[in-house]
Amino acid sequence: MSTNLLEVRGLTVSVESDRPTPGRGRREPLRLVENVDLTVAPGQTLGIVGESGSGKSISCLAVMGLLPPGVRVTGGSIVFDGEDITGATPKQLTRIRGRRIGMVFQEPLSSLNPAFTIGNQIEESLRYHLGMSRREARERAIELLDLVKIPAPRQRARNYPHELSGGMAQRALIALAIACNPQLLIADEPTTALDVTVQLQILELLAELRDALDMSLILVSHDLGVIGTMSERIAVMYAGQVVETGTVREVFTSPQHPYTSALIASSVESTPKGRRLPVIPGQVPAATSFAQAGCRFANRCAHAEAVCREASPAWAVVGSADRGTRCARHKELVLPGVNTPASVDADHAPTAAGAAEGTDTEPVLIIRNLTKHFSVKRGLFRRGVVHAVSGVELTLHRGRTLGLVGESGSGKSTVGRLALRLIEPTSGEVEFLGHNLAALRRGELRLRRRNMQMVFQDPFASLDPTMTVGQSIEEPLLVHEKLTSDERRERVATLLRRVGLDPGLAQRPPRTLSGGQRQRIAFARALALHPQLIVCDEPVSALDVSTRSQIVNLIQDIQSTDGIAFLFIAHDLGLVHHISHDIAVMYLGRVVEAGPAERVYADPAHPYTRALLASQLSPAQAGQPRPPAPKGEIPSPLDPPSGCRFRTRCPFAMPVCANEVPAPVPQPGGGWSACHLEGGRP
Amino acid sequence: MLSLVLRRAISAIPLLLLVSFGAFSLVALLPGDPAVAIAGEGATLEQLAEIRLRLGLDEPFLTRYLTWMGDILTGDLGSSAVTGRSITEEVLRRAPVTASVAAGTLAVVLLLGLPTGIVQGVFSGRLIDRAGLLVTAAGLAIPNFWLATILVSIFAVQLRWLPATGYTPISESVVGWAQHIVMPSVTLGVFAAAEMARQLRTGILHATEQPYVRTAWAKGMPARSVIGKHVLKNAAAPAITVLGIRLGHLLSGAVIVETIFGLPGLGKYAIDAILNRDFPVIQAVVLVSGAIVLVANLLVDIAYGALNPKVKVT
Amino acid sequence: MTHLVDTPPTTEPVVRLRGDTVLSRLRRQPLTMAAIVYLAILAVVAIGAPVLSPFDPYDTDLRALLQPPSPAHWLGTDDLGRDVLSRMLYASRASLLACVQAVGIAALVGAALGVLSGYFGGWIDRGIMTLIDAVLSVPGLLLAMAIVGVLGSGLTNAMLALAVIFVPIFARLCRIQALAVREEVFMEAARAIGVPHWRAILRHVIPNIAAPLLVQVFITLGVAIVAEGAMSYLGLSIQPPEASWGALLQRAFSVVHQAPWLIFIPGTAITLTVIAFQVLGDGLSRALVQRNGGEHR
Repeated sequence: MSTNLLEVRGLTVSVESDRPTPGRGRREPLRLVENVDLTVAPGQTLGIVGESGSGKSISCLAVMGLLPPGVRVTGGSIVFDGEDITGATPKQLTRIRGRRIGMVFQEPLSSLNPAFTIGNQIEESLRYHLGMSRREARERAIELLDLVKIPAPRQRARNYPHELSGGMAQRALIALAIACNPQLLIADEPTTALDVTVQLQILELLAELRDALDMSLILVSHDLGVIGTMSERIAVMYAGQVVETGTVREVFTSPQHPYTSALIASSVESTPKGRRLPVIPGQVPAATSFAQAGCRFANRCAHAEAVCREASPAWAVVGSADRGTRCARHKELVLPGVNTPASVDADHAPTAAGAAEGTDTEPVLIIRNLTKHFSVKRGLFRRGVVHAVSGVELTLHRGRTLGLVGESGSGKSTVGRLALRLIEPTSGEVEFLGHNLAALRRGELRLRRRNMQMVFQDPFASLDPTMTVGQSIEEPLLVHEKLTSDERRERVATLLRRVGLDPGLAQRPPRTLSGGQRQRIAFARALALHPQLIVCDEPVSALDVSTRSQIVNLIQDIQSTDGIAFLFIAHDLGLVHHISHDIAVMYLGRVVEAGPAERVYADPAHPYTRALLASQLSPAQAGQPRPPAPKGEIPSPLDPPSGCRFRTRCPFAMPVCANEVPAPVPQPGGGWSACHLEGGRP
Repeated sequence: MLSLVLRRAISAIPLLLLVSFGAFSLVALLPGDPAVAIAGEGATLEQLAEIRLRLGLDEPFLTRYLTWMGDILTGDLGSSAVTGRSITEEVLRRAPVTASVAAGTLAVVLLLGLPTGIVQGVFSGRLIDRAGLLVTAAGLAIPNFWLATILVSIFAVQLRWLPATGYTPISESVVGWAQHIVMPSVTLGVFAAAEMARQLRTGILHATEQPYVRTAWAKGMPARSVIGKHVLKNAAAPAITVLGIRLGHLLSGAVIVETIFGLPGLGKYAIDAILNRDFPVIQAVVLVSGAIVLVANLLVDIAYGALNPKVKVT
Repeated sequence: MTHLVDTPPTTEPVVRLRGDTVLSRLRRQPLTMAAIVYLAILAVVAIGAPVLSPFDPYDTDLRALLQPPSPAHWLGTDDLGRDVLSRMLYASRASLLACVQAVGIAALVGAALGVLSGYFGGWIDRGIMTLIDAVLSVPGLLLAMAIVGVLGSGLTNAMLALAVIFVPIFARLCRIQALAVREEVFMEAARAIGVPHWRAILRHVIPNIAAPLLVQVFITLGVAIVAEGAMSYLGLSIQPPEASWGALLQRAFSVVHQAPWLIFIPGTAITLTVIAFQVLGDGLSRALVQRNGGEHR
């Protein structure tokens, strides 16, 4: 008799498909999840990791009986606390959901009903499941809000969801989920939509609650670092199947499945700076193209052989019953894990970012004292000011990459747009190739645009859906140059090859292509006029982890062959460190620290940079003691703190921090830090 | 909340002015001489001069407009070019008839549209929803003037249950009033009920897909709570605003039903004026209906703000 | 030689499903196809009325008043002995022509106003929208009737009046669509490239709003049929002896005691046509949403 709290065996979830798929008949149900086994013991934390389409979320929804219409469990069993709930009736489910299993979802703000206060929504659960009276429920709701560390819980309980920040809303949702003291809490990507510094707070909160309430926890994420920090056991999912399970330590140090190994290697921290990131070729398959025979990862696997493609690999137990893998060749392969030093092979060829640290080229972009304020309406007669960017100074040299890193409200994206004069600065100067952009008239500005281009975050939105790939790429040529249509076609083909795509894609509409392909096309378009500067605004955040490496490598290749300067904007310090020569860290509109990438990453000076670094979770740090998460939330740019804007969250804050804006203090190793502390650092 | 009301009210004023200006200058569109149009082809010069004098057509446009506006603000909508009677008096006399039709239509909309929409939304995809879609499609497609003729043909001519034309004020006889009001109300109400049902259905479906409904299920709430409380409160707001918007269409529809059913209301007044080229009445009707619609929109905005907390704060 | 090709193209199969275009999706909706067929037949009938109608629609025959349908007169005769079928054929011509012209003009004017308003914003937007809102404040049909009341009854005036009340529908739709497109990332990308305004509007905004605009055209055609029917019922549109469907219905109602079946002929025609336009608009909308990868209700 098993003592597991939750046992899922052979779970298969299918959806009715009304589109004919190649090689199969019409209207055959599409299997989203196939033959999945998951177990969670009481008090244990299971991490489920996978990319989009892996089936990790659907499996959790199946456990709760929350599958969307048209999607059903078509095989396997779900046993919770000894009770088979696979075919549970709605009435049975209402006794389990909320009461014995709680669930927290990804988008906190839209997961709360906008028409009711958050106190009301918690009270509803308490009154229905625990039979509390209205007064009891109200008091208990306030206690719960306090438990999840929401400040001023009595007032907050009367707030509506839209009055809360993302972090607050997620805490409220957690309070809701644990209100009735459930035995199991399922958290599906609970921190993905949140800022990095808040993410660690929420994860710590979940860990505390788990221990205090003696709950089991299932944590679902695409981020290995997050899973590694929180979980004891891990299940790796790919294309609707579980491909590996085991304890975190086992799986991370000696993975038994090539996909797991590739995921670990893909995380930026595994690759030393100056080397190309290892790439998983191809893309994550959609449910309509899951391979029916043979291993589903075979077409992307570096170790695939004939045996892998012929028959679907069976589940193989490795050592203890909880450890297993779905790889036919696992006995022969020795796969690198977190502690395996990166070998020097073709995948890790040196890149531009590693080389030429000392070469001083002339500056391409100089930003002086740049400020941008937005005026917004608040109520009938009042106007508010959003201090998006305040007094920013940056320099970018030819052929080098400046990484601009910050969380939401930092103003980094605004700086990117100001650099290209897509929006007008309130004050300050942007000097591009020696010309003051603000002084140029519209016609001249348009001419200058040839030399500076931008790649945006969302590959699905940055290409006009009514234009073919070729038309999107040739548009800069149409606007700025006079070429015949043959010449344009030639250029488009060259550009497509340049970014590693087949020139035949030029006739396609973008909706038939994947995110990674579209982002490459965006780069091809940006390269059309041979610019000197490309601003990349979060170019990989919207892509799958396995696709990110491809784009990062592409950027570095372009730089080494064309000598283009990049302004790389992102919120991931590790990624920025990997790709940039220099880093500038922004917080609430100000640059708080700048310097050579190596120095800033290895030896951060400013308390905020330290906090940011501490919030980065990588698989290599799994199981190790970590510094506590930074306190508080990012204040609103409508009302930034006086003096040093980080002082409300800084553990070293002094009275002077509220009165004066800190001046830059030069740091040993290069760069500076804007902090009032002695030497600019604690 | 108060600021919302004030803001909406203030933004309605320029619109009202524009409407009044437009209503007044409608006549300026007319090619030729308005006096001739009113009097007819065979009018004598004296008759034309008399009409011009009565309507003040000789004075400059702006003066006439301001005089007209001034009169309106004191409650004088002018006098008919054909009968010479006071327009304000006629409007007030006929308003209760049109209001009765409006009330009857509202009843039909609520009785037919509300339950249909809710049932369709809750049981979407099932047979009753598909049947409902067919019924509402018919309700939206059948022109109200045709429906009126069919109703008269069946209930007045063939079955003789209801009178084909005429009106009895409610003060005289409730039964008589109801008998005269039922067919006009159904005629206008069917379309609006179908629209309300569609709107509710879409609203419920849309709300059901929202992440917060998934949270409600995940909390273990029973179906009656999830749908009755979480979904409906969010779906109700857009559906109620439909009612307000429909008011304008009601005024247009009043013209048709009052003509077919012989009701002496504002609609009949309007169409008679149009057919007789009675310009002052046409101008007054346009202005009054515009004002009614603007007030209705304001009320709808207030109701929406009351139901949707997000709007209140912005 | 530096690696530029991480991904050999062959490992990224892009599944090109049969039937990925709008037309083939439409073909899979039987109801929509039926609507298209009906409207096509109606168009042919309307254009070919002079050739197809068995009798002269103005030919009266006082010996055969209000005859029910018979082999000689497939739809019977009216109160002046005229062949109802022929009258209907010519009436469909009048109704359809008026509606297509009214909606066509309104769509062009409304789209132009809406796109300019939504794309440029600012005082252009405020000015245009205030005008549009003012027109919308007066109930549509009432305003159209008032305009006809001022200009005089007749088909051309009725058509103009309808065009006036339909402009706001298209202006509002195109404004919202243009606003949405303006906020899209690819528009920002176009600005970063240096695309001038005129090209942005013609090449980016208009193709992206074409689909919802077309859907709205069909839906408004349905509305126009009813509106024109109401106006001609009340005698404001086409004048006798010519007729459109509404006028035929009014005449039929005047003799409903003697010939109760007569009101069903023009009424059914109007209703079926309205349904056909609605179904077509709805089906087109669904096909477009699906093509772009979304889910439709």
